[in-house]
Amino acid sequence: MKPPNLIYDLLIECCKVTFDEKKLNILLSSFENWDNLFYSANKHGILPLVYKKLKNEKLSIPEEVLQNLKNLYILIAKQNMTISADLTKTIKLFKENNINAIALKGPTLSQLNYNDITLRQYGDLDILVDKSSLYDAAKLLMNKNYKMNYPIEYTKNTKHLLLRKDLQLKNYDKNLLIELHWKFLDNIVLDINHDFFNLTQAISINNEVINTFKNENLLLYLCIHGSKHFWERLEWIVDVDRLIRNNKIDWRSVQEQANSSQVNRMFYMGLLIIRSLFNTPLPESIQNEITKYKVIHIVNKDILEYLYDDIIHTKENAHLPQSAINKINMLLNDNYNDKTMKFKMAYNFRINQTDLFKINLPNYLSSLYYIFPLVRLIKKAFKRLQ
Amino acid sequence: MDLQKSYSISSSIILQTIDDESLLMDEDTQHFYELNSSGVSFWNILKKYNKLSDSFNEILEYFDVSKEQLENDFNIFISNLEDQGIIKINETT
Repeated sequence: MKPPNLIYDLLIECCKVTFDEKKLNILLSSFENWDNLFYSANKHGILPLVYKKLKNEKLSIPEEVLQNLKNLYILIAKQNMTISADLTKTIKLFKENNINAIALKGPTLSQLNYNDITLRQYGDLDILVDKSSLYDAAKLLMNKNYKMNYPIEYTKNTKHLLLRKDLQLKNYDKNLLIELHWKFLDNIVLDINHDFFNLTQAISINNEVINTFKNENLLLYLCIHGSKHFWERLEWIVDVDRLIRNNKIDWRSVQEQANSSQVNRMFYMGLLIIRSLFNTPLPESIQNEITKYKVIHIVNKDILEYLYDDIIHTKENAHLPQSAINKINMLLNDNYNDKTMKFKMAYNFRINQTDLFKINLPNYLSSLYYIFPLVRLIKKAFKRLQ
Repeated sequence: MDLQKSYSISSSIILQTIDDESLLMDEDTQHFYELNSSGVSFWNILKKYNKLSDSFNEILEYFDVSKEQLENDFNIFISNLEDQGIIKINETT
């Protein structure tokens, strides 16, 4: 068990929905490491929540510290307002061109969870469109001064669309990145045009109607996203906690979808971690399911340790090594069985996104992309021999 | 300032409340304007009308200040908003 640490304990306390005046005042009574606290809060995307919690007049915080924290929060609020304005403009542009779009995370999640676009931290926009609309959506954005880092023709390359999960377009004048997605949970292509109203709910931002996923799809999406990235940001954990606390969830529906999409481990991983940190209320049936997956309890311990170390050491730009993330992703994959070499072989023999950019092969020659992982495996084998 | 003039608020203005203050942002220019709590009250009243005198009279009822003092504050407030392009004072009454 890790020793208590004031910064870690304060940040966790600030993320909770409850206000424990006594506990917070004890934590704050001898606290002086404000710069590190602000740094970690910002890195983990929870600075607005820290401000909202600590500004309570029942807490003893130096006036100057609170003003500094408020100033940082206002900077975040301004950034969020700018990004939200761009989201509404983009969605409006898509609507005018008959492109159905689903806004993910970012301003819509903030609005859904807090009824306030300023209480999450986000730096870009994630928008899901139907695969058939991808080219047109990208073209529209390019006409608005967004640039892609590879030719737009790749959006019509079948292998590309199969293996990639998003398209990045950046407006360098505004310093804003938009990620266009066409898959749900990285590997499921939805018929968005056909099922748009079944999949989505409408949210109002700046008097513009924006569509985002219904709560169940969103919950699944957030759990999978967080699990794939080792829950290395506290904000992602808070997102799931608040989505469940502040919105109605059809638990049976989300369980069915997790099962049919074979993402049970990642889904229950998300639920376990919010329960560990924030004691999020979950139905008994869900709690029972969580106990069945032994591997997620092991990974949960690793995640909590990593978060603790990351916060107390305030490592700048530190991320978990990719090899560690890959290992966790394998453990959290429903198809992983440590007795099965077949899974490991398929995992190692996959084409990655860099391979696709080396050459834009026509669809009928796309099998030739497998030369790249074959060469990698051979190189790896030679290195081991040496 | 001629209070008989009418005004219009730019359609690209977004308001975001932060504690007891607010931020106004022009979507087109991405300029920000911070309003304190009194400014927020002024703003909410401005949005209801399109004639300066109507807004002024309601603000005068709302705040317990003399007409002369309010005239001064109101003029400064409107001038600042006009300079920022947030409202436009129409030349005809």
